[in-house]
Amino acid sequence: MQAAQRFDMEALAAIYDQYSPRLYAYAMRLLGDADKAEECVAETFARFLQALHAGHGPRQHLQAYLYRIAHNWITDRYRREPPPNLNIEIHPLSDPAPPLEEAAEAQWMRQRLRWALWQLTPEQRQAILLRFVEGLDNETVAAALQKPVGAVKALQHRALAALKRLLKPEVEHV
Amino acid sequence: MSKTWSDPQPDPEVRAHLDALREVPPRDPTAAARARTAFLAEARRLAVSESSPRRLNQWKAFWIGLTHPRKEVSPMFSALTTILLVVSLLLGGSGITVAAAQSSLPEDWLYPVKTWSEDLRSELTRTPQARINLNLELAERRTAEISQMLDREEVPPEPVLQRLQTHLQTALQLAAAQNDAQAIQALERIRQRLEVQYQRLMQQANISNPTARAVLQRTRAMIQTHLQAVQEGLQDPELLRQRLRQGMPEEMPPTRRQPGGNPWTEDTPTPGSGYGSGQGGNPWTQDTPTPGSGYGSGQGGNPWTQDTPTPGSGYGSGQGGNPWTQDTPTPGSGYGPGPGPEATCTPAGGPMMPTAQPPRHGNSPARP
Repeated sequence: MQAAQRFDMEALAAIYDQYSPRLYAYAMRLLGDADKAEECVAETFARFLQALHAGHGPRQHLQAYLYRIAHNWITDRYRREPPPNLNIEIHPLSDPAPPLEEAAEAQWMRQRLRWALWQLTPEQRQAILLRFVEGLDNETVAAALQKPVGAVKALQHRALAALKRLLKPEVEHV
Repeated sequence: MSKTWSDPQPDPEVRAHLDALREVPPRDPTAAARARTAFLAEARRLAVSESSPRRLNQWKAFWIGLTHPRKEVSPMFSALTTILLVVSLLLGGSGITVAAAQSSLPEDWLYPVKTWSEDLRSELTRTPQARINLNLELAERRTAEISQMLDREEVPPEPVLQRLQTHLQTALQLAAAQNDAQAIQALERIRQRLEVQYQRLMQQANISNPTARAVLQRTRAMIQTHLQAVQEGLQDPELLRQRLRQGMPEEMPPTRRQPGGNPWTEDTPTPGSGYGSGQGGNPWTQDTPTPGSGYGSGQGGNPWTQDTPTPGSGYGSGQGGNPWTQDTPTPGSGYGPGPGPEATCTPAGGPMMPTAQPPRHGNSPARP
């Protein structure tokens, strides 16, 4: 990080190469749109550079810091505009490709979960995604949310309960 | 007593959904490479422009050096500090004020000092190369100021945009005034610097204030227009000179647009309001015009030729307005007064997400 703060190009390139794919995947999971995910990555790193240039930026927990910027960008971006398009296309997800029905089922589940995640509060959404999809430990999630670990666990408990309710197929939602 | 939360675990149904979300389609390698290049270009640009805290630290170090002298002071250091101290005292601290003003923004009280010092530098710079470099540096400063203000959801004032335009035009004129080989070299430098500025502005997003958004669009259009002129000049410097003799490229001055319509909106313009795709056309670019930039595809006059227009070419006198004239606009030309500030608002974004109903078996089109 010290080299990055000195605007050492190699250090900055290494940071970009390490975290850009993860941030893209994170934005893609949440937004389901490749262009918007690219926009999110570009904006996240632009803000990171501006913070470094202003003499700020993270001293530690770089990963959590970048996830936080990305999450805030997504939350702000879709606060006023229509929420993201949920009709995601079927993409070649793995090699060899799964049978069509399996892929379609997975696509449907992603779409449904994405919808449910957008019903949560931004903090709940972030706490769930970072822990259970991105696979970060709760200390890192807490750093991203700038909250104590206990508060993060409480958020996750409430968010999981809400997701269980929202994803129940037989419940009629009004 | 505070409650201790156990490590929460998702229920199997929720877990299955979360697992499904883990898979992501592969990223487009071209888009990824483009994004990486843009990031590194921006990093390089910021690396050469010092930030205000860093400047402040240098000042701190300078004064600490003066007030807490080291045991072994080199003669050079001593002479330098003496000179600086004398000059600073002679100027009554104005040198410090000027230095402090360099990081100010248009809304700050020190900003006039900053522009005054820039004007002074312009006056004192003689060689064309140095003047081109100075104007490019100042254009970058203006873009950075606009960018910083937009980050804070503030609206950059009109004089900042006018100064940006002046810097760009001056750099272009100075480049074109040299011989072909030097002109191409200078234009290439301008092109590189403008591209970085344009990239920076393209990364600016998430601005909720419509007035600030419109300023961003105008700034982008201004730089895009000059970039186009530079690219043409790189192919044929003489053509650029001819065009410059007939008038500089510029983004549409707001004074010409203010009588009608709203110059600060990105919304779809009201027909006849004088905004959006008028009939004047932008002579400097073939690209899709930026909404709200005042340019658009059209049937307007071609300001770059004296020749008889080809019938049907869209040029010549007739329906089209000349974007570079101050004359009374032709009715319906796309310039001049419009009906007023109302603008048709086109909702942005894609299809709406369901707000109450989740995608469910039986009623979701995506359900296999």
